[in-house]
Amino acid sequence: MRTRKVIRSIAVKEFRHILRDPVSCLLLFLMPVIILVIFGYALSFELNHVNIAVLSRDRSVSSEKLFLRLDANPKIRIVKRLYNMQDIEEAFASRNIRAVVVAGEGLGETEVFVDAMIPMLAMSTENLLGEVILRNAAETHPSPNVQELPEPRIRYLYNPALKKEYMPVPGLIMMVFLLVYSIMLGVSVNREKVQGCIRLLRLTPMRASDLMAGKTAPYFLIAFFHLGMIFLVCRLFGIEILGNRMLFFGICFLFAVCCMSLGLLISACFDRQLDVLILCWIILFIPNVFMSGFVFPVSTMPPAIGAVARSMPGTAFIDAFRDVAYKGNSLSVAFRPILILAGETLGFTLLSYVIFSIRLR
Amino acid sequence: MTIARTHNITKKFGTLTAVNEVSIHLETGEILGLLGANGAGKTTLIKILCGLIKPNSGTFFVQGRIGYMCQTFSLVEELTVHENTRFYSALYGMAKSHAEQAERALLEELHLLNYRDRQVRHLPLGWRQALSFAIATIHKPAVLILDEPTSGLDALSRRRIWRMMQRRAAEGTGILVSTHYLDEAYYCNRIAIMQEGRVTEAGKPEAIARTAAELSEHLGKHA
Repeated sequence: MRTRKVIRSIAVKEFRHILRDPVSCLLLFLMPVIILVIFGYALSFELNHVNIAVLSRDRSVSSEKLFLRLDANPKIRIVKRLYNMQDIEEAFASRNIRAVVVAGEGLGETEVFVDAMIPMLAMSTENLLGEVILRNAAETHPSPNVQELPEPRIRYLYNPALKKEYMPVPGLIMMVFLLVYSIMLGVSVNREKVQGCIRLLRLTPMRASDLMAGKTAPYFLIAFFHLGMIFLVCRLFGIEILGNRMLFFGICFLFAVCCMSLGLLISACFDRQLDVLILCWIILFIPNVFMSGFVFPVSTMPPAIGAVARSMPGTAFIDAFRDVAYKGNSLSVAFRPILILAGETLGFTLLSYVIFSIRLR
Repeated sequence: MTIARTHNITKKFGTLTAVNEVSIHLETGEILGLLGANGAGKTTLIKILCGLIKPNSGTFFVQGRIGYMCQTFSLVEELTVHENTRFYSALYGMAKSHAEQAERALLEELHLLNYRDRQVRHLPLGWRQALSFAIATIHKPAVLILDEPTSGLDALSRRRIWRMMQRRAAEGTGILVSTHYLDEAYYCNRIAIMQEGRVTEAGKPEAIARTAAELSEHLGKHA
């Protein structure tokens, strides 16, 4: 009887504790909804649609027929028509196009260039396009024997050997940076509040910008160590940085600064260390890991969620990383994700500054 | 000369009035003691004077720099005694040579020189409070605001802190100190007794209560 009473008292106390703590409520009620409903709905390995470009070498009727057949497939969208082979590389530079179908004089001359940075997506694209091309050949080719039909030639670009290491590297770097620069910095700034140091600091002539700069300075130095580490990891996995190395490391550094600004923002808004830690995981880590194209390709997400995913710093970083390191794109081609990263970094920093200024006043 | 003054300061937290129309003043070289039971509004009044929270109504001013020691230990525990003093003196904008001189004098006075390179988290409570006091005074503030600086300390450590306060007061620093130790009231030049957010009595300790027992009875009624 006594035991039951004790357990009941503890349970009631715990229940009240949960309901009166907004972060606990968020964690217990909102996070499962986000993960199960939104992620369940949005995340998929299934290829919903493929944007392709087409090029007819002979400008024949049979090529046009093939293109019409491709366009008729609900999963394939012809978004660009090319006129010579030199345009292929440029077409791939925009992240919009996943494959280029080049129709030749005979059916055996059909070539498919596939972006192979994400091997799994490349295979799905190849299967989808190959099936349509073969079906088209079966209808137009004189021989009814499917085995005798000439297969299209597949060319994988950017990762010809379909090495699996290409896919996770930018995502892993993103995870490390989020952990170190957002979560660690956020918790570290918050420690000043928890230990009460912030009350003493507020009585000194210190400004919000001093606190922000002083707190982030060690992380800037750590960032240089991590840049060296990234270089070694790329070498270890046999990943060649095709683009400008300064630009590549500049992107990594920019992402590190962006993560710092996020950590500052969260620590500026919340007073308890545990709240900062939990919110960093819920708001930053989980969405960036699942929706940035690291695990699930952004192109397979529903359009609305894909748009949200593309605006996230993790996605911008992975896109910029792949553009420069794997495709060898220059700044003028890869500017979009870099611009997103730079804009978000500036925005988060300014917002943190405003909040810190108000709270330290 | 008056270096700090509040006029009809009121601070409310929801329906609770923590400080209710309080008017006090602090003179140069004076120790003003704020006496009261827990929840009387001492800490809230101190935070208002430090500018850490804003009052709902009333006015206040503090002339010159403030040194503040809060109720809970607030120094960086992972740093050593020296690193803490360096850190805060740098934040106050003190030149390195000046800061080193001030640090040495303070640590000598507090008998902390032998612990200069020890991490603060490894110091006993009495030494930590002494260090907090040193850091609150390192930049030679005109007004020193101490929130229960002797709370939880043994008699010897308490006496050491009070002796340091008296030295600072003799040098011209105005000190506002809150305490709930009745015997400490007699170290102050003046005391103000706070009850339920109001200052009920103010004046020289001897004038307010002839004996510690009277004062105890006085506070006990409202504790």
